[in-house]
Amino acid sequence: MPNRWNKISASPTRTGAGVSLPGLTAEDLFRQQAPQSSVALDEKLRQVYYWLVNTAVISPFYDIEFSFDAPLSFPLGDAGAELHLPTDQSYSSNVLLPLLTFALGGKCLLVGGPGRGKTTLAVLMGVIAGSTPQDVRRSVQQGQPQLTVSDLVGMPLPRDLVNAASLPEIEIAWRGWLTRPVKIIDEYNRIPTKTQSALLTMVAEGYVESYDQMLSTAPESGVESWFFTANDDAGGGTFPVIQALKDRVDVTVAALGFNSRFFDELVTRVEAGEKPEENVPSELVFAPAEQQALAAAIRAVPVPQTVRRQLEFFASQFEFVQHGGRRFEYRTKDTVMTGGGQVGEVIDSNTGADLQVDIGAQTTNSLSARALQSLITYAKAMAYFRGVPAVGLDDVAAVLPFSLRGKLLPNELHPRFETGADRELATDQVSWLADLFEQSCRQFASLGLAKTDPVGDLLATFAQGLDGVSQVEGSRRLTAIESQIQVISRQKKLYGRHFDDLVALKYLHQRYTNYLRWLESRPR
Amino acid sequence: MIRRAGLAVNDTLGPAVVPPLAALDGFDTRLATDNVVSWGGDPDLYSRFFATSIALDRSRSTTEQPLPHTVLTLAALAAWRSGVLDLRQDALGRLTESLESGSVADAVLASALGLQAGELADFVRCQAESPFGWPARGSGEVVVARVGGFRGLGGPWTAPPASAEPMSSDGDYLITLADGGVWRLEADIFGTRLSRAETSTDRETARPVVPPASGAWPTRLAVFDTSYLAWLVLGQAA
Repeated sequence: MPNRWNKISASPTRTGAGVSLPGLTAEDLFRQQAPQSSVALDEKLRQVYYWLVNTAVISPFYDIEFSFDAPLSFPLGDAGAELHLPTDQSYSSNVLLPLLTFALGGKCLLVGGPGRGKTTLAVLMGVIAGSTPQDVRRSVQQGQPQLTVSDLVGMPLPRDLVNAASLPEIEIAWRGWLTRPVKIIDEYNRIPTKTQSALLTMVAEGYVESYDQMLSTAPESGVESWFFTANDDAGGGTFPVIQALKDRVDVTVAALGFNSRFFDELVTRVEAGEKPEENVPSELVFAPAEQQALAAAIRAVPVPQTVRRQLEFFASQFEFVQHGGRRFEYRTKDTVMTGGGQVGEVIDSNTGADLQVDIGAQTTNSLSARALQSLITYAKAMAYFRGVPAVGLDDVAAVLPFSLRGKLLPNELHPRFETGADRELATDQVSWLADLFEQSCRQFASLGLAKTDPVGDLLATFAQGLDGVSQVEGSRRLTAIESQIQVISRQKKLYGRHFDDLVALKYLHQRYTNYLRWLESRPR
Repeated sequence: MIRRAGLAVNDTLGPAVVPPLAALDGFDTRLATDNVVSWGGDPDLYSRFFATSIALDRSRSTTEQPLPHTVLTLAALAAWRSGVLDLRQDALGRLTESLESGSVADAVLASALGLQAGELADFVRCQAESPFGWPARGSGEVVVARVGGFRGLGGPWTAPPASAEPMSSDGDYLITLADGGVWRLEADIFGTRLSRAETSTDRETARPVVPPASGAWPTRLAVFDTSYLAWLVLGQAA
């Protein structure tokens, strides 16, 4: 193996806070510290990342920025462009997000023009998962207009088709790629709709079915990751991608262009005839047990209450639309969409709220529970990768644009996208989503919601249970709920955050009302 | 003159002729120095106090090699003296035990800490009260340490410290810089450790603790508009 591929970043790849070592003794002074043989999984993951960006793929982009202090910024040109120099470790999204996808067993869509290394990156993930480069290459499913379900999953043995008396007697020759830890579907927007549906079952349910036979697609580790590639995610391609399949994609990442200042490296590769996937150092390959432990460790990263509350606030903005329906619960974007209306027009007709302030007015849809689950999982993965003990707002902010891209859709009729400096955000979804979250955090702070959360307090009281709650106490709580609704009712402008609060308050009111009825009906 | 971070106990140390450290059977002295560095200690100070105390012990002993117990005790004391905060408990335990049993001469123990033999008992008593306990305390307020400093001059900060909150009565402080960055300071009489309070969560979960007003060794952290250094000040006993 040529030496230049073997360079692995020295540990520690990330220096954290000064580490306290309680219980240190004089004997420790004369002992070799920290055994070097076993590298922690998060450290190994970072070593893989640095090998990928520094050696395997030429990606000098650091678009996921982290800074301890305010980064140094330089205004560039006359169109408001700025270059930031972050002060903490920052990362290349088109490498980090696929790597996190591998680590947690997610689904990643890589978009970008041909020749930008989308498939190479996905293949590298397969090699890191322990497969040989040849096997991974062979397993790549090329999307094309004639791809049938049998092409994708395998076919029944012809002998069985002739002799079998019933479906269970038909043996299926399953395709080998189905049980690989890393599954790669190239150009998935060129796959016919029927075959996409078969793919959806695999992606969503983790199994494949043919002729009444079933095969679980889980590999030995139980952690499977999916990589889809497409030239764009705006509806191009031979066949439109079915919405349910799109919705299963956890993150969408753009493969960035080639930086011409790295031309020498390109020439070296041409001359040497080397491919990165054939030169992955063995130390960077994850065994099945390691993949399992990695996914479990990521899930275990805690999300502190302060971060949860900010996420709650952000997510609450998008469901409500004032003129979406008549009943309060039906005043949602979903009501408009499923009823065949135009959400943008309905938002535009609302004169009761300030569109500039109403974050929810910038989107034509709301966030699904699935999208939020993906966001939480990737935020945990980001925190784990950075070696921090709990998910921070910066971890959420870093993954949110990639997690919600294609899921939270911009309302093109919103004044923000029509004119002025923000017009470019209509096409730059990642920047728009990052800005949307920033706006939400600013609003959260200016409303002082970190300090007071009366609805949260009422929910927390209820969560303690109703056992032993007296009739007087129950009535007192009902009154408190009604007072809180009254407080919101007095405000003339209604926003998305109020909608979720009001629905939750009604829920609480119902639960207490039912409880009091039950208390009254009990024999005394 | 540019004032830099440092400790008062080291400011008065003059130049010293450090005797060469003889090989010690069963002890890798180079490894120990490397460990001292990785734990935040000053390798020159460690070598100075360890070599001096071992040489003094050799001059008083008839055996060819010092006892392992003596080597470990002197190494722990010298490493703590050089700024390894986490060795304080072990070093103090070994010092107390040696003083009680007489297993190591007082003058040898004192030389590992840069003290006089007559100050040892007082030092142990003061340290039992506070990590900043020191026999030659003097009267009035004393700056025991200067921490931080501008990054361009070798310090860790790009903005001056704006405020400091005590997190315990043992020299643990949370420092907020003018640019919003938050740092944690841990300190004792021989060393300081500055680290970033990594996440906003850390900051929120860390609750300021007001040190007891009647403390015999009260400390405060002074910050100035005109300096990138923060001063750890030992106040007068209440």
